[in-house]
Amino acid sequence: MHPLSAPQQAAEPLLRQLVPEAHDRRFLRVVLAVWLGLVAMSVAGALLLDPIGAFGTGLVQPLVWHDADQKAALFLAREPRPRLLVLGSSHMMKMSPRVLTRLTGRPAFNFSVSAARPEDMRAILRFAFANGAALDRVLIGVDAEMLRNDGPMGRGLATSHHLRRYAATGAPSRLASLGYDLLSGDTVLLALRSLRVHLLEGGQPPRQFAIQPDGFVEFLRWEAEAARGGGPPEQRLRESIRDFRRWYESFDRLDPDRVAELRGLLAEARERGVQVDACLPPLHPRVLRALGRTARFPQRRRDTQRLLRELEEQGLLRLHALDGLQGQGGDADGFYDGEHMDEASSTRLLERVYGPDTRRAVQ
Amino acid sequence: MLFNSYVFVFAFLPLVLAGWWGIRSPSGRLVFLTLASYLFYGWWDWRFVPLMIVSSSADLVAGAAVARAATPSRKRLWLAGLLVFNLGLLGFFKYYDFLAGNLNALAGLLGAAWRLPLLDVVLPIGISFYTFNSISYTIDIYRNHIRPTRSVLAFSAFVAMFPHLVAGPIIRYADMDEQFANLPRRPPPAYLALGAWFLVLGMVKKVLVADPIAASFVTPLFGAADGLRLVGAWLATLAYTAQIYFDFSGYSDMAVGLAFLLGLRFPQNFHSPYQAESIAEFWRRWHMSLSFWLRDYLFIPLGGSRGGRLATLRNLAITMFLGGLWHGAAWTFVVWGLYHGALLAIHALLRPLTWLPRARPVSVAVTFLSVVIGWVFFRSATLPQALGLLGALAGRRGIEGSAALGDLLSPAPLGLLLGALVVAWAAPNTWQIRHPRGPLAAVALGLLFFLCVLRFAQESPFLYFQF
Repeated sequence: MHPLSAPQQAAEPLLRQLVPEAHDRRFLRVVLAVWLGLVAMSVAGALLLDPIGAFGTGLVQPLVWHDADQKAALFLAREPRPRLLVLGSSHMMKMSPRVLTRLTGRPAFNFSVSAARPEDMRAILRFAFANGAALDRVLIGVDAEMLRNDGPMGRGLATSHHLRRYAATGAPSRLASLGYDLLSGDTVLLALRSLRVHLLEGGQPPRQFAIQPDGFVEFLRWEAEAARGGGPPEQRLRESIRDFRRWYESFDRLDPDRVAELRGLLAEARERGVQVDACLPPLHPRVLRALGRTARFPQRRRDTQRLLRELEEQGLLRLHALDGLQGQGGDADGFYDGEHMDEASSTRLLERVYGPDTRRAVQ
Repeated sequence: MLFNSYVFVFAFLPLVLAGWWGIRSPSGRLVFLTLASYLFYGWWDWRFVPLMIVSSSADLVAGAAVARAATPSRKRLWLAGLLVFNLGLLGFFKYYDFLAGNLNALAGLLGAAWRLPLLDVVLPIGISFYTFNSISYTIDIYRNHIRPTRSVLAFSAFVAMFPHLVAGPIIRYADMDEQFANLPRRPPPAYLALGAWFLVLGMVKKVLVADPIAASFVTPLFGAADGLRLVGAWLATLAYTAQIYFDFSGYSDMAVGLAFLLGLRFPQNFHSPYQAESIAEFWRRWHMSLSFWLRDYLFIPLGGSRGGRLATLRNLAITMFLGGLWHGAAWTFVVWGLYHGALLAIHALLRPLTWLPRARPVSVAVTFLSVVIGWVFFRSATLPQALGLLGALAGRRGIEGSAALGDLLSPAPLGLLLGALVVAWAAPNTWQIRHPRGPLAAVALGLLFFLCVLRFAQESPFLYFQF
């Protein structure tokens, strides 16, 4: 034995804790039985109750909102066919197609989806073209956050019935999200909630969102709270600040693959003769103040602005500098939390983009 | 592949255990373990598997050559050649860009026109660990502590075996040689029970303690490190102190548990380091396999403490400087290493002073505080950030207002952090707890394992993978 190494001495006392072999065997059997039993129950719950709507078993109504697929279905049914499309994340959901139609004279559809990434938006654009949309305008909200490398490309598309085949880099694998769909804390909690809703609450989950036929989203709970006035609740602002800090901590550069997807989207739009207007959606001033002194948030915002300016110089988009509150009228109360604008704020932003001052250029 | 991932727990591990215990021939089992470990390693990036094979083959060849060499000078020559080769590989992959960047900056300061190209070299995961594993083999042969292996398979399995491949414990061939020669034919129930115990407790440390602390405090607070004031700075630093301990000791426990499941024994890597009464004791308890490696293959060859007080201090400084640099190519790690070298030197100077009070709680508190200050350098992205954070810890940036304090102090995460610190200060560690075999303990372990699996969706690599 090597005189200086300190190898297995530490293990010897453990192995000397002699118990009959039968005790060890029983211990192992119980550990495995409990673990496998719980795993089996969770998988069965995920498959049968399908609380996140990943498997389409349809025994009960999913609790998770599949806005991308819902909007895709509404888009297919929409008449007259939209000529103006809104793309982006949930930050763009209160951009009203009615207002856009009033401002531009074009039928509009809001196809912004939760946690959108460039590959999602590109798939949506391809889906729209493939389904006969005669688009000539796109308004796109590009957040720095959507250019993070926070997971495999196309993860959001993997479970989308309508959109997954339009992913530019090929249909994403279901395996990428199978573990989460079958056996994650979220799935188990949602399955339990789904069970409670269907056994004790009459089978209808409480609605938090509603989508109108033009893709415009109503945040039912937030809007009811906002109607009472006073701006976004303090707790929700704090949660937003925490989220942003978490997102930006490891956000050391714009993800080149996602930047490439954004360029690909813009190139495809240009090939089809579509004019793209882009903006960085504004954030609540509390978020900007709290994150302003951090290392990465201001840098990544600047990187994103630089990227958008570069894309503008290449003739791929028209950039509207609206990322400060002044761009949309300066109302700090016009947010539901630290990042989601209400309809009035969103409308002020749209008026800056397509209003009388800029209409001549848009036309 | 991460230990805390669906693919590892539901596919890789069951298949490996079935194969390992199903194959009867010992050599067949070693081949199987080696190939499975290559698959485990190649899951990240298959391009680096050949690098590991080349590195370990070089040790195999050099070890045999050192043993065969007729004269001491030829032995030395083979050893030197091997060290140059292995440390050259490590140096290129880990330090080239750091060195080039600093030399370029220096050239800029001196007005020189030349610049070294920056290559953006991708660091092969675990290279620091497997290089140290295999280097020790050749050095031990050179020192006549071991004989060269007669089994290429055993050596390949020793270097590659997945439980310790990417983040230790750093193992010496002498630790495994005899075990590989006497592999149990059937799984010993005591080993399997201990394996499950260590694996699950390690996973709990990582997934249910370290990761939530990181998500609640470390990641958001260090993300805003430049704006932190007194409370935020202390919270960030203490949270990182807890995170790195539970993350790395959790990984080590899982590695030990996986070895037990294979009927093998790994050395202990952590022994309640935050309960240490001195900085020297801390290093005997923290990442023990690295500490012993640095002691045996660096500090002692430099002369250890045999050459008088000044020489001892110099050797400590060199050892800790290189130990710091081993962790990463950044000035923050260099300063962290030198800081610990200085602490060890101060300890060596003060130890003979018998009049110094030595109450245990005070000693533990002073040691802990010294280690916590060191983590500021270890975790910070840059030296200016570290210095700013130290200033904030000292109150130079003032204290937060009540709204900011409200942002920081959520009761549940704070409770978890305090609980984790209390465990680290006062509770027995995984190796000290008498492993209970009763049905209640088994049910609890099965339940904890399940709770860990539910958090696998939040994929989080172990902190020490980056080193």
